[in-house]
Amino acid sequence: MMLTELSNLAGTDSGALEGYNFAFLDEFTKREIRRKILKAVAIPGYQVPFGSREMPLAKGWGTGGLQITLSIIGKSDVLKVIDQGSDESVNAVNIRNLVSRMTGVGTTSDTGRATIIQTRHRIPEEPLTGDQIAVLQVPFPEPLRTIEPSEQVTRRMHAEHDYSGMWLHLYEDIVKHGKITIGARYPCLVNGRHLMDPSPIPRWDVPRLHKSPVIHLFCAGREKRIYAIPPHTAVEPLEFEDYRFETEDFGGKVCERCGSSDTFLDEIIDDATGNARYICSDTSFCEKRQRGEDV
Amino acid sequence: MRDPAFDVIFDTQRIFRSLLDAMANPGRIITLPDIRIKTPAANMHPLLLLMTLLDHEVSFCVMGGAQTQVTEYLKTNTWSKESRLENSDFVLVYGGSSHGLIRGARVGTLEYPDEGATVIYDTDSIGDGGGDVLLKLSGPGIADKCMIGARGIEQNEIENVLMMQDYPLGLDLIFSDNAGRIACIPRSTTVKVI
Repeated sequence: MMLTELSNLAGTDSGALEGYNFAFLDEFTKREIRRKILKAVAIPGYQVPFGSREMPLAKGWGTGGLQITLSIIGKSDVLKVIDQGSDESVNAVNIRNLVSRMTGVGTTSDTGRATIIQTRHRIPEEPLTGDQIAVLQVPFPEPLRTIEPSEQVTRRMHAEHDYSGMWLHLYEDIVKHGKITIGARYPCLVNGRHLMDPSPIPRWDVPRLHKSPVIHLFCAGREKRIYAIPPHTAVEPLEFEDYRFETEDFGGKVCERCGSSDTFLDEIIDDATGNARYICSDTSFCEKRQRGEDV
Repeated sequence: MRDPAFDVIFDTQRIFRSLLDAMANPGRIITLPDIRIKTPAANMHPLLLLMTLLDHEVSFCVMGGAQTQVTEYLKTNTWSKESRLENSDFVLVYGGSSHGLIRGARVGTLEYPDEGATVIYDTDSIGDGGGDVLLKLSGPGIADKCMIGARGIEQNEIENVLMMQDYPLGLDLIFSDNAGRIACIPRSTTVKVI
């Protein structure tokens, strides 16, 4: 693994851009991230520190997810990247183009065809299978940060399984507002042990993490943390017996494109009329439904 | 002499994906990609795993078997440091038993449980039944329950490891057999010796 060797090995026959190592990252970086992923999988929901690298993308725009994707991807993978459910937003397009140029791997918007799905703030509507890997971009990996600013203290709270502060936070929310007002990033207990920030996915997606057949890998590039949920793992949103966890309620609204009433909807305000319109947040799913495919 | 047959980019990637699959699905038997290297050990597969995971940032130790030659091979090929058991990130055990020594391996701390060691056992064969040990597994990564059997590992050794598991502290185990099959038992798995 000498440097001269690595430059010789850069992917000339792989379809990747010449002059760079396959998948952009150097092999030592990939090794460290891979070791940390294995530990993250062995301790579901626990945040493993890692040496996050400088990426050709601003921090906060998916550098964590990108480092995971680049560390696990191989020649036979097919990549899908979504941002809030859309394959076509700027962030998703940029990340997909970057990975594709650095590896030569195929890309797709079809959830069923992808082997690796990197996502920001959504889990695809179409059920994933055990052969796929979901990679989630994470801005704030620490669920306790809202109640405790010190990393040293939150780490000790996780060590001691001391989540009373978070329970109190939820209780105060109910006292003030009559309900739990957390929108995205709803705190979840993983494997009955570690409290986890599921990334800013809507509450709608939280129950879909519970006992899912799919492995979910989370990575925060700026905050330098990797964590994971292996398949078939208990993921329970915090709730009280009399104030249960609730997903978003769209009040019977349906997607105006595909007519779906069982998906997470984006509300769009029409500039001209001021009226609200509703469409599926997951564009690939919406298009499949519009084509009449069974999803 | 470094092993020219091993591709540090694409072989490590394929082996890692097998490992990830195995670690995420404890007890699932995964066959490693067909990659051949010349090693000083009869079973090259545990060394393929370590060639994928080790580098200068982590340390390892080898117990039993052709200890000295294997240690030299790994140092030459990965630049990883040999270390005492209590400081090792990775432990490779030959002969199916550490004779009680494994109890000195690192299990991590409550604040940093990820510092617990990864232990690789060189085994004759693994399968879903029979052998020297038969284990019933449940927990994260396992839909309901699953059984795994191994030949070439002592029941005593498994019992020693199970005594150390105090979730989230503990060891993450990888069994690697002669036929290139691997199976993992991370510390999150509940294990019952049958």
